[in-house]
This record gives sequence, C-alpha cells and structure tokens, in this order.
Amino acid sequence: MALLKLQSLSVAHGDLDLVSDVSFDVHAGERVGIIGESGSGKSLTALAIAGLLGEELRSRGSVHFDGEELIGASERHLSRLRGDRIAMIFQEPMTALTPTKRVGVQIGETLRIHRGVGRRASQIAAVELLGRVEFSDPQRYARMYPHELSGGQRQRVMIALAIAGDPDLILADEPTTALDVTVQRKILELLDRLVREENCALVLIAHDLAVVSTICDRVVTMYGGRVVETGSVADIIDHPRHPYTAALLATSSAIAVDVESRGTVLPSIPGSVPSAGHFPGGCPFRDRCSSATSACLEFPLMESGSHRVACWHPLDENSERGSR
Amino acid sequence: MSKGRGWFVVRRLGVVLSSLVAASMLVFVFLNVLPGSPAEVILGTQSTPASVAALTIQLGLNKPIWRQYLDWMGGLVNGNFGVSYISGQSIGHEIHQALLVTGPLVLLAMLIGLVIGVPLGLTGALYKGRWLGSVVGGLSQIGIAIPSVVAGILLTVGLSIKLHLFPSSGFPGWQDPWGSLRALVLPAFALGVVEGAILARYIRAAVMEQLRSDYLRTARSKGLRRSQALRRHGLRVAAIPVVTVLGLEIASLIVGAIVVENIFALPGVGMMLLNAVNNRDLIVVQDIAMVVVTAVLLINTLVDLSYQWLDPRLRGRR
Amino acid sequence: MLKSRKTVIVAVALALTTFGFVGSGLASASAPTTLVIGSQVAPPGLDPTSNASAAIDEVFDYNVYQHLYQLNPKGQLVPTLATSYTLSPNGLTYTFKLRSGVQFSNGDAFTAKNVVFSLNRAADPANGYPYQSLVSDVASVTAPSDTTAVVTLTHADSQFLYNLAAYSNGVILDPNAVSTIATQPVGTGPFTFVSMVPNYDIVLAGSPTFWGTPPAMRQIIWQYFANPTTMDSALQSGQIQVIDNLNSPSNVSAFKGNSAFQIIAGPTNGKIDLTVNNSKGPLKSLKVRQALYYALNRPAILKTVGAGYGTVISSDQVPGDPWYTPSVNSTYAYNPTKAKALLKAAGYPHGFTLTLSVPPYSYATEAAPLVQAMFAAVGVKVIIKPISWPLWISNVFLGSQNYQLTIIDQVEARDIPEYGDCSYYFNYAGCKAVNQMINAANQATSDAAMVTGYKAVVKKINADVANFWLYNPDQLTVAAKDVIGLPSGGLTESFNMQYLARSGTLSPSLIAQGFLN
Ligand code: SF4
Repeated sequence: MALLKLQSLSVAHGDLDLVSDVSFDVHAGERVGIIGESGSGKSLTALAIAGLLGEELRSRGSVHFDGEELIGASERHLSRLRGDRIAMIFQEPMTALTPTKRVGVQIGETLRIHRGVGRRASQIAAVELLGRVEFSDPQRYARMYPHELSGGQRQRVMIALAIAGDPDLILADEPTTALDVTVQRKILELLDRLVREENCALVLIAHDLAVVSTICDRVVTMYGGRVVETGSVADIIDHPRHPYTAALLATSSAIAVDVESRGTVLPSIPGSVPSAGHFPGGCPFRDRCSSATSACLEFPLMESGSHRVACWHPLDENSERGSR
Repeated sequence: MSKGRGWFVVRRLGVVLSSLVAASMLVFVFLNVLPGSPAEVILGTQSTPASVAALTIQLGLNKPIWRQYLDWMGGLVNGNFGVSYISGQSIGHEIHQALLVTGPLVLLAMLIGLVIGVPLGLTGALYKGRWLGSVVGGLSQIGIAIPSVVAGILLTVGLSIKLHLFPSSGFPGWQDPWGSLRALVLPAFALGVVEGAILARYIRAAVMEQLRSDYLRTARSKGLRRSQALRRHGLRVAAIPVVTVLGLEIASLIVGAIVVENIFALPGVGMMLLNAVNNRDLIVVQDIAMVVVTAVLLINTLVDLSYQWLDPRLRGRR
Repeated sequence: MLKSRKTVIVAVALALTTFGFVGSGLASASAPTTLVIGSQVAPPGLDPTSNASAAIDEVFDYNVYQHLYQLNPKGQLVPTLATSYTLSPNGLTYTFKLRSGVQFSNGDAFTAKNVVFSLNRAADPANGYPYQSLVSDVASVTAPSDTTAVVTLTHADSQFLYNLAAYSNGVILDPNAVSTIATQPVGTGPFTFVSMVPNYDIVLAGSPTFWGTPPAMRQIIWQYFANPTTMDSALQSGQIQVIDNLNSPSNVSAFKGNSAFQIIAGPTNGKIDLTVNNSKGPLKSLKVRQALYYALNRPAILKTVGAGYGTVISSDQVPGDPWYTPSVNSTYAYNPTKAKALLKAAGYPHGFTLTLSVPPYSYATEAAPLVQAMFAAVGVKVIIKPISWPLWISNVFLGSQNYQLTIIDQVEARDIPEYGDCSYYFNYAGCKAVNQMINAANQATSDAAMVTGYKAVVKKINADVANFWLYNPDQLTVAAKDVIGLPSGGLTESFNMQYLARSGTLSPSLIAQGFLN
C-alpha cells in the first residue's frame, strides 16, 4: 500500500482552483520528484499535503497518509504528524529559519515537541544532527543564529531540522533553488544520502529536471495546477511524452549535456507561465504548445499505466528525447 | 560582541547628552522670547513700570540671557533645579513630588494599555476574517477615536459619581498607598484605553506579518500548532515594532497626562507645567521640559537597546 | 496561549474588583472637625507679601496672618491685633492699642515691634509688596510701648485704615520667620500652615497658640480644581464640602433645588468692566463712548454671564462702598436708538471697527460675544482677540497699552482712585481732575465730607464714561447644608474660615457681622 496517496487533490482560493485534480502515490522509501515552472502548483501541492496552506486557501479531495485522511483533519492532529512523520524543507533558507533563535535550539525543538526530550538532551541531539549534515564544528554552529550562516549552511540546518524527527516522508520544496550552483550539488548529495540512510520517502519539488533526475525514482510533471505526466525517471528523461515535459527537459541544465562546451545558450520554453486563473481552458499548455490542435480545447484525460500522460498528441514513445 | 555593545551604550549616552544640551538651549531661548515676564504676573494688576522693574532686578531677570542660561545649566549639572520665581519653593522638590504622581500614572496607563492592547491585538490577528476579529477591530477603532478627555469624563460619571467605585478626582499622597492607587485608576484608564487601542492595531499588524512569515511555517512544519508557533517563534520579532510604538507612545502619554491630570485634579507634572506656563514661572517650565526630554531620550535609548536584545541580527552593528 | 490570555483577563477583573469594592469600603466620611474647600485657581505660592495673587490672600490672609484691623464679611472694620485706635485731629497720626498675650504660631510673642517691622517692610519699595503704593504715605512707625504702636502719615488719608485692613500689606509678621516666608508661613491667626502640594492642595490646622476662641475646624484643606466640572462632581460626591466661588455662575444649576447644598450669593468688590482705552481712535470721543455705553444691554449680560447674580453698575462703585450712589446706576440704560443717534452725531454714521482683547477668564470669554452682537446692532464691528494673562499684563495693562477694549474684573475694593492715575491703562483724560478730587476727599477730616468727595468722583467718571462698567458680580459659594460660619459675601480678599463649623449655631454677634448660620 502506498505511504501517501493523493486522489483528486485540489487547492482553491475562493472559487479559483490553483491546483486541480492531482493524484499520485508515494510508496514508503520512494523518491518522487515534482517538476514544473513556478506557478504550476507544485509547492501548493506539497503544502496541502502537510496541511500548511495559508489561511485563505482551501483544499479538497483526498490526501491519505499511512491510511489516514489528512484533508479536514484537525490542526492538533496534523501537528502531531508534522515534524514527527512528515517533515518539510523549504525553498528560502534565508527566511525559513527563525531569526531570533539559535540553530541548535531550532533543530532540537522537533525532538522536544514529539519526543518529550529535555532542553539539554535536545541540544546534544541537535549537535549530532548538525554533524550529520556535515558541519565540521557542530558544537559551535549550534550556538549560532541563522543570520551568521551562509545560505548553504542554513539549508543544511533545514535538512537537519527535517530529519530530526526521523520522519517517514520528507517534502522538500525546491531546497536548492536559492543556492549557488556549486552548493546546490552538495546539498542534493547530502539530501540523497540522508534520505537513503533514513529509508524515508521523499517528495522533491524542483523546476529543474536535472535536480530531480539525480535523486528521484519517479517524476510527476505539473503544469497549470494539473499533473500532465508521470513516470519513472528513466521513462521521463529518455522518452518524455508530454510536450511540456519535453520542453522542460530541453531547458534543463545538466541533462542538456555539456552545455558550456557547446557554448550555446539554454533554449527556453516559448511564452511564459500565465498567472493563476489565466490558463487557457482545455489543455492548459495549449497556447505555448507547438503541437496544439483544436482537440486540445478539451482537457486531455490522463492515461493509465506506469508512464502516463495527459495530452491529445503525446510525443512518440520511442522517439529520442528532445527531438520530435 | 560584549565590547561592541558597551561601545554602543557609551555612544548612545553621548548622543543623549548632546541632545540634552541642544534641547536645553532651545527650551531656554523659546521660553525667554515668550511675551510676559514673571515679575508682571507676580504683581498682576498691581504692576507699575517701576514695581515691575524693581522685581525684575530682585528676581535676577535683568542679567544677560547667556548668564541666566549658564546659571540655570550650572545648577542642573549640580542637581540643583533652582527656586521658583513665583512661589519661592525649591523646584527640585516640587518636580519630585509631581513625578511621584505622573510617573505611576503613566506606568499604570501603559500597563492598562498593554492589558487591553495585547489580547485585543492577538485576537484580532488570530481571528482575522472571522466575527471575533471584526469585533476586536471595531473596538480598537472606537478606542482610537475617543479622546482621553471624553474617556475620562465617561469614566468619572460612570464609575465614580454613579457607582462610587473610585474617587472622581484628587490624590491623597503616597502615605496612603491604597488610596493613591485607587485615585490613579480612573485617570490611568482614561489614558490607557486610547493607548491600548493604538497598541492593539500595531500588535495585530505585527502578528499578522509574523503569521505570514516563512519561519512560522517552518515552526509549524515541526509540529507546533499555529498559536504555539506564534508564541515561541513570532512574538519576539513582532515585539520590535510594538516596542517602537510603545516608546513613542510614552511621549504621547506624558502629553495626555497634562489633560488627564487637569480633569482629575492630580498634582502631577502636567498640572505643574500648565500652571508654570500660565504664571511664566520660566525656571519651572525649563526644568520640567528638561525632565521630560531626559525621560523621552532615555526611553528611546532603552527601546534601541531592547531591539538588540529582541533581535540578534541587530547585535554588534552600528 | 489561550491559557495565558485567560490569566490576563482574570487578573484585570481581579484588579477591578479589589480596587473598586475593597477600596470603597475604606473611603470614610471626613471627621466633623475637618473641612475640604474646593477652589479653581491654585495659589502660585504661600507668601501674600510678594505676590498679588488673590488665591494666596484668600487662604492666608486673616486665617494665618492677621492685621491690626480686619474687615468682616460685610466690609466693616473689626479690631483684631489692635483693640482700639485714636486718630489725631489733623488726620496724620494713628495710635493703636494692641492686644496683649498674642503669640505667633512659632511661639514668638506679638508686640508693637512687630507692627513697626511689618509696616516698614511693606512701605519699602525694595521689598516688592504688591500693594506697596497703598502704604507709601507712611512717614514713620514707632513703638512707644509693647502694646502701643504709632503710625504717622505724610498726609491725611481717610482710606488708610481700610487699606491696611483690606489688603495683605497690612499683615503683621514675625521678623524671625520672614526669611522662610515663602515656604513656612508664620502668623498670629487661628490657623497654621501644615503643607502644600503645588497646584493641588494646601492643608491648614487650627493653631494651638491662637489668642482667640479656637476654631471649630481643626483641619481645613483647600483643594484646587483646574476643571470646574471636576470640582462640581467632587462637591456632589462629598469629596469636598465647600466651593468658595463658582467662576461660571451658570454652574449653579447643578446645585439649585438640591436640599443637600446651600448656595450663598453675596456681594463682592469686583467690577466687571468692558475697559476702554480712552486714548484710542473713536473711543477718544465722549459721544462715541456714550453711544457705545447706551448700546450695551447690561442687565442681559448680567443674566447670561453672571446667571443674574450681581448688580448692574454705571460707575466704579459697588453696594459695599461708603459712597455708593445707586441713582447713578440708572444712567445709560440700554437704548440702541440713542446709541445710533449719538454715533451719527459723533461723525460715525457708518460705525467703525474695534478690537476687543479677551483674557482667559470665563466671564470675559462669555461676555465678549454678547458685546460683539450688541455693538454690531448699532453698526460697530468688534474683532475678538483672545489673549493670555501674562500677555494681557504686558501688552494691555502695562507697556504699550496697545488695546482698544478689554474685559476684566477689577477685583480690588475701593479702587476708584485708579481713575486719578494718568498712567493707568484707561488713559482717562479726566485723570488729573479726578486725582485732585480724590486727594481732597482723602484729606477730609469728617467722614461725611470724604463720602461727598468720593460721590462727586463716582458721578464725574460716569458723566465722562471713562469706562464701560458692566456689573458687580456676586460671590457664589456652594456648600454642604451642614456647614455654618461661611462668610456672606466676597467683600474681603480673605475667605474667612475662623468660624466655620459643621454643627451648632453661630452667636448673634457673628451673624450681625455677616457670618452665616
Ligand atoms: S494536449 Fe494539445 S496542447 Fe496540450 S500538450 Fe498535448 S498537444 Fe499540446
């Protein structure tokens, strides 16, 4: 049975659906990447899972976690799961840590909440966790305030904070986006290693397929608040079937092999992501899609199977990536 | 870092001192160009040019203005506030007595302001968009709109004349601590209600900003409920704008004290100032102005120091 | 979070109940030997010899400090530290027999030496007595014996004894206590000074060394209320028992018809004047002054501003003056038609504009718009200019005397000689003539001649319209029903507290002197 099962999850702001009808599963220990440009609804999906949507947003549908329905669960109930069984890593390390508390305290807090651990014991645990996220002098760093750390260091603190409660599922929302390229790789490697060690499921949100492809087993592509393609990393990278996935792939830094040696600028997807509520009816991608036809005025249904796509004119299963 | 903080304090004190000197000159010059002399007010309708001239000499007001300033400042530096032109009483003693009324009045008003403002502000933020939040918002709007004069009269009529719960006016003196506290309750409420309403708005805004902050979401992702997360992670940062307002409000409370002391017949600094201005008792006005300026500067310094305590990001800077 | 919010609310509720209920249990009625008197203007100090403030005299004169002779509430002379006096036939030498066995509150004995010291101190301009000019004609003061004091004047002055009794320049001081007079008043009176909280209260206690019958009230507190509404509620709620004078007579409605209070309306020496600068513009013309005086409906002003408590006057006189001439008051009765005709005759058929400087006193601010409307009715425009008290003294009363009209209560008793002072701010053209008339009246050796002389002055300044006298206001004392011994009016600077009591009855002789039972 899946650890996490999303069925027809929608997130609405008033009457406007920002996320529509999202369904996918995450099995225990499985690592799933969600990709898409910003505005595609992937962060909202993660927040909806954790029940951390802003006041003004409402979720419907179903989020089953380990057999429990989370949509509509009480704040008290959700707060027992959060940090303990479901942890989150946020995009902005600059603002995601409380500026007035020492990082050791912030890391230890998870244990104090869920394990009833005392101040001193939680500090010892925090230092150990800082060690695990590769701080060379964890004792010293534990006493520091977030503003005294670099972006990469802060994101490592976030990771330590996430794994502190030994969760079953980590939701990582673009954990490397705000970081330097060199630091990004290190953070990803660290995350990859720790998730493996903890044998914990991971939902990794990124707008860059390269990031997802390095550590994930499966990929979900989202656009316009909907899931448009899902499949194994190999399927998606080798045989993207949705034109949007293909376009993402074409613009992806690391996968577009040796970008620098070729000396070309990364191609970008024509047009830009509309703001919420301004996606066209039917297939939301149709005004940016070169394959669009009149059929695309209807929303394409998701196929079934392991590599599924929602497109009236999916790319050939056997075609090489990037070429059409 | 501790050395840095020490330096900060020293530099702050330097700023405070030079501000005081500047303020003293300003106050002195301003008061000395005010028309009307103490001698004329003392003599009233018995003034004649000759008697006014004689009294001016007797009071030492014929000395050059810089000399009068230096005499006054010299006294202040030595802790001597001088002697009133009008009453012949030692001003230091009078100010001390008056501060024993106004100080507790302002503190009590501030306390009442906090007791009203903090729960209202928190409720307003936590229940934003729900009926409780709207009620709280409305209440604080009303509170801000009420001038403390009106609040004072309403309280007097309601609680003292109708219900006889509190004295309508007067102050027995601190040898009767209970009676004195009782005498300060209504005036402090009159001041504090408005204070609380203003605070509530700032607290509501500050807390709402915290509720939207990324780190509060992080705190919740660790398993804290919204209100827990706010208390443990948000309040300290939210306190910064609130402390700023609190510091500014102290000055407005001192001004408000003039009005409220007048209504409730309290022998405080406000009353003393008002009477001294009316009597052209220049040294008294100058002294009170200096006491108030000193208080405001010290409070601002405390506010700045509290920023550093509240927010580690501000430590070791400046 | 919830818990802590609850705690706060509970704490507030607790604070309210304890302050309220336990506190009200503690509030006890004042003992019958204590009295609290409310007043609006707090004395700026304690020394009546260095400050003209009426609020100082009200509390300290007669009550703490005494004179050789004093005035009773009816304005009559009463022997006090003197038991009798004789006046030489030429009117220059007063020989006072002094009371023996009198002590100051510090234990020092009172003798003729104190009289010598005190009157010399008052007469020396260097000491800055506000009323120094009233004793400037003292040539010498001697003490032939401990119980005899002799005062010699440079010229006869029929008002000398009255002035010595009425004004604080007549207080008898202890030379040993003069250095601390600003902070520790010492006198021979029925009360001694206990303490003062500036701008708030003054506490007096019955003097243990007082030579007369000890006052029934052993403690009297004067409490000051800048806000008259607050003072009214303090009387209504029983915090104070007496209001010395309602500065806004219309406030009397709060107490009228309430059997718990007595309202005492009694005469004062005040003259509420629409003061004229006789040297300014159209006001120089007698016809214009007559016209404007006719334009004023003074009974209406008295009714609105003084709530009807007072007497309309048409010269510098009040009913308490020996030379009071009631017939004069019927002149210049309200007659706008005549006013217009006179203005036309004076060459102002279309009127003109006047500026009215209004000091911050309720009678002035309330009367100003009435004056404005009444003058407008005869075509004279009035610009109302509010002015602070210090500025009034500096610019209107002294210095440039740069004003046309102002409104002021001339509170001093028998101040008609001011019309003989050419530097006085009326700038009255007849000053020299009046001065001669007054000097003659003062040197008259018979009372009848003196009164006749003053009556002539009353009539002359009325005929010249040297000023627009509006009315003589009453003092409006409000007190709890049980208070007796209150002065029947405000003819003295002092608010005499010697006979105040909260039970018993007053002797007929005191009642005859104007103390109320
Ligand atoms: S459905 Fe049509 S518009 Fe949408 S992606 Fe497929 S081809 Fe493009």
